[in-house]
Amino acid sequence: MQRYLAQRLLLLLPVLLVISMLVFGLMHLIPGDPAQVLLGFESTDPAQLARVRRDLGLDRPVPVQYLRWMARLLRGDLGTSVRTGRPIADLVGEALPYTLELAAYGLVLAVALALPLGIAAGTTRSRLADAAMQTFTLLGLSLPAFWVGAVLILTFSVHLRWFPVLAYPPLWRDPLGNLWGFFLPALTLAVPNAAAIARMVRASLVGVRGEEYVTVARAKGLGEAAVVRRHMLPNALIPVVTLVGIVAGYLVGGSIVVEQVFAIPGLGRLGLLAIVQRDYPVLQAVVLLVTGLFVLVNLAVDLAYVLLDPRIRYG
Amino acid sequence: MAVRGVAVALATAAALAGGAAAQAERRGGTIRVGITQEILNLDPHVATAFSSFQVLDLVYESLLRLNPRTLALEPNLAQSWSVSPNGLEYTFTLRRDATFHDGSAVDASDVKYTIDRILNPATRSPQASFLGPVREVAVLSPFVVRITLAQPFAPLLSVLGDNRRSGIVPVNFEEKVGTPQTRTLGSGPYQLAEFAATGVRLVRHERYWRKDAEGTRLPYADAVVFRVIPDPATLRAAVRAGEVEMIIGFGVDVTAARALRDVPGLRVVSTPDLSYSLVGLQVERGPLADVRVRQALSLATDRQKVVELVYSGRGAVGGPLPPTLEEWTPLPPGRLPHYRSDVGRARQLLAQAGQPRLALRMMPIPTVPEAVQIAQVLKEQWAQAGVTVELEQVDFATFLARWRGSQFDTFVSLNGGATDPDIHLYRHLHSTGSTNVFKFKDPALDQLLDQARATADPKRRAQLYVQAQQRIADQVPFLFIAYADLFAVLRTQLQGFVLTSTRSMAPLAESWVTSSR
Amino acid sequence: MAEGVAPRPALRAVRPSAGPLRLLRRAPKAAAGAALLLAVLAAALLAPVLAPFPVTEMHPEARFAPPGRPYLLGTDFYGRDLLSRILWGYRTSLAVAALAVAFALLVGGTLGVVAGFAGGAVDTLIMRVMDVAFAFPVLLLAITIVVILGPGITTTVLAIGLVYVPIFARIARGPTLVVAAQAYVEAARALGQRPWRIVTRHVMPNAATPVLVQATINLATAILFESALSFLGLGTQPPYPSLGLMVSEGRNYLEVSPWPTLCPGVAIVVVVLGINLLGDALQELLDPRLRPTWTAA
Repeated sequence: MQRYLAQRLLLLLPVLLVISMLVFGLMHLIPGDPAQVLLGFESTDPAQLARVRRDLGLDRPVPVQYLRWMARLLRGDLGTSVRTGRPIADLVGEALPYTLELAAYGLVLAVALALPLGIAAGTTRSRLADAAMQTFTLLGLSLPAFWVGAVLILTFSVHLRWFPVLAYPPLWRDPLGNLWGFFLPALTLAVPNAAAIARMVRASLVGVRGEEYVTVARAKGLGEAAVVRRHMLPNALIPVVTLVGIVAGYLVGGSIVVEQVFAIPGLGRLGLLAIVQRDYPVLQAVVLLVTGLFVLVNLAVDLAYVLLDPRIRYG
Repeated sequence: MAVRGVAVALATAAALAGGAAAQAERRGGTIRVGITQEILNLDPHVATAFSSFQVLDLVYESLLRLNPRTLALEPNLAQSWSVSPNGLEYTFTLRRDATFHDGSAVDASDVKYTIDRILNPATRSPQASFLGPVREVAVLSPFVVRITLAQPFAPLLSVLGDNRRSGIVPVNFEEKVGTPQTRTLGSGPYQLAEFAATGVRLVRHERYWRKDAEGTRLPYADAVVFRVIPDPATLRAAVRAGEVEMIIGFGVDVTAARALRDVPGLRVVSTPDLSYSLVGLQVERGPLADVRVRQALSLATDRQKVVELVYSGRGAVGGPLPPTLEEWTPLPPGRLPHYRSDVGRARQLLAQAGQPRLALRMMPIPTVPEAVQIAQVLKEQWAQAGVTVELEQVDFATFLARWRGSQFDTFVSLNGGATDPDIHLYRHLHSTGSTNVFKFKDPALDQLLDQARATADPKRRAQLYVQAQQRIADQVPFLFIAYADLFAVLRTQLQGFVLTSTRSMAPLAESWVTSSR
Repeated sequence: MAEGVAPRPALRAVRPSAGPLRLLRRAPKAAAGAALLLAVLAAALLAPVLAPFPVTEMHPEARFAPPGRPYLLGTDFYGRDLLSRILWGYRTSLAVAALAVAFALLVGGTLGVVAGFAGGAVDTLIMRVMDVAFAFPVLLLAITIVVILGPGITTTVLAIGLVYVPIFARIARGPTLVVAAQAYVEAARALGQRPWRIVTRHVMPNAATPVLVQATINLATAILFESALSFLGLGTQPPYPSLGLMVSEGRNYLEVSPWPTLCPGVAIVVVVLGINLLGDALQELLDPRLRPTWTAA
């Protein structure tokens, strides 16, 4: 088990390496560069542009730039943001908590919404109820996030005044205010994912319904709820956990759209600004971080299987 | 909190004495402003983004300033000034009670240091070209400084009256501050307290020199917070919900104004803008090198319709100079050459130039929402004259790269304006202009512009600029479209704010928040 | 020809000649989904004929008009007819989604089949590359591609398609592995039968099921993906409408008039719902375990 863990963690490194090379290469394919953006509209003097490029080290060939960046990274220095002049470690440190909280909150909400819905849909005898719940979940999958966010803000923040428009106090300072303020953006993130998970839960439950052990349990005289709880759910949950894992990975990737609509300064927004402003060092850092998180989450999910299904073992 | 307590006590005492109690009640509170763009650079001599200006307006000051209501130049850090008859020597007498945020006094050596810093190539200040003719800055006495020019330069006072160009910094500013991009040290009513991704927090400079009419020291509010809200719809939601007291900037246009006009608790204010929308043209090569083609495009453009469609009528068709600067624009724009829309004549000119079926690409600037709207309207209008337009929306950095390299057929953008015609026009239109990306070279216009900037006599200058405007409209280096109205939406609790055509935030120093939340 | 154990699933279960009424009763989801989709497809294909107004024609005197005559769904910021723009918008959105998924299916599917069939080093290499691609933050990757190539329909198709490639590679690889391990395949190879024939006759029918299901899922998400790109200003270019672009543009004027954002939004929901319904029905059809017990197979 330890060996497996160690192996997986080691695999992380080449993945990150390849990704960093990929991003570096991609960035330099994009027209325009940080020097241009820094100079803005004030001057078209080519000499000045050249000077700024030199200061930023952009005049060296791309592989050389990459190696220099790598060297700094290995020393633990994430570099400095080109467009703000601030250390990238600071920028990322500020943005990470927002994204992590949003992802976690969104995931919790998604699962909280999906489980009851999916279980109900998967165990009901009523055709109508099943169809209704299915349509409901499909609806959740069909709405664009920025639209949902805007409607939620208009309804609940502006007209009903139940939620603030933008209040994101740190969790330790004001936990209630934090949970309240993050609710709407987390909900926006949760809706499509809840729908997907609910569908999976239903499908899994329907799938195990016909299994032998269910018939046996019923024959034993166990009540329906107990059958569901003790026999159907644990087996049905494995593909659901897979999906939840994938969802967690994507959520951690930072939802750019939700962060944009709700003015949350998270990693997604940081990454977007970095692309738009050609802030290469920041983009590198953000992509590496997000990818690393994604892979770690996947690892966590794989380990969770062991807990869920005793038959699974990693040698 | 303590300040609030003291203020209340004072107010009570004053009320008993029947004094200026009302003023004391104004002190306190935080003014929160919602803006759409990230604040990136706070260096007063390098920053050129509007988002930076908003903060600079409150943190740094210049020798003179523009009166928010009349746009006239008036004393600021300089109490008085005189100009020598030959226009080469400007002597400024500074006020004695201005201080920087670290407590040190503002004196003549600081002025010298500031101008030297701007002119220093190592600073890479875009304002250097505006102070090009400065030959020497001399400290005559602790509070008197003299600037000597190599040749007369009429816009000098305007440049020195713009805290976004010539904000005064203390001697050894860079050592004291470390990173001017992210730290400040000015003499303005507020100083920087926090700078984060969510925005900027400024707190009161307790020893700020300016007082209001009753003698109370300004500013009233304890703090000003600029909150970055990138999405315009969320921006409007924030002001409606009372989470910011004011919204201003790119997210607040005539549509936002319409939407929020009738909402209780909100007030919409507007003023004509000095910024103008334009259609840049590639003058050096290609079909647009022929002046007839450019004139045809001007004739094919129905500017009034653009104002109606894109700005809902809240704007003015404009020539090269803003219509609100009446002393410089005696001619109505309709009288300028090729300004009256005439599709038939446009077709004629195009045929004469051998371009009856012209195809052009148009690149709207992505950071200004109206740009793509103008582009779509123009696409329809120019189609009537046989010109096919292909819209090319690129992202910001690509736009910049193409703009700088003059890699475009046409583009739609928004240019900042100025109260002085030289600052407004020179760098775009002079053949040596630093932002003449159109590659426009016209000796006649060059001469007019050079003469006008060296002439001290306002009447003679006005005449020269009239000629310049006509020449510009005739030669069409690019199309001036319109000067739209500026909007800001304020909560009724925010009092005393005056919206100026420069979008200056400085009037916030004289604004206060009433406590009826 | 030895079919072996190759499971040709219940494709035989519902024959096209089963009669539409019977189909409706037995598979309401498929029917509903198909109906929606057909309507949308018809609208998209017949847009040039059905649209009452030219798509870019502006009527400034009637901007933000509510639904009525002559603008059946109202007008937008420029006074352009919403109905016409939605009809044409369907064309764009469906074309982008279909092309993107087709691209991903072809490229990803091929990669997956090659990986599964060849095995060994080739398999490891391809799948590791896919892993890396999978881990990359999706929207950021698409945005980067769009910025490199410049926004436009082709770029949008490529960006979305490239992002979906790893998914199809994974999906195609699974069944391929299963088939490749079968004895008869080894026998066929030993006999010198060309790999291509083996692939087409044995691998593809088995991989078809999950790939098809995935394709329908991705078709729906592609439409939403495109609308997200348009929201960020990097999708289809104005003035030609795509549903995502319309929703995004209209959102700014929500307080002035809800129609410019509501109507295309509903249009998106309709087509995505249709695709999802059909996809669901397909999934149930092809995997008998998923059918609820009251529809006795």
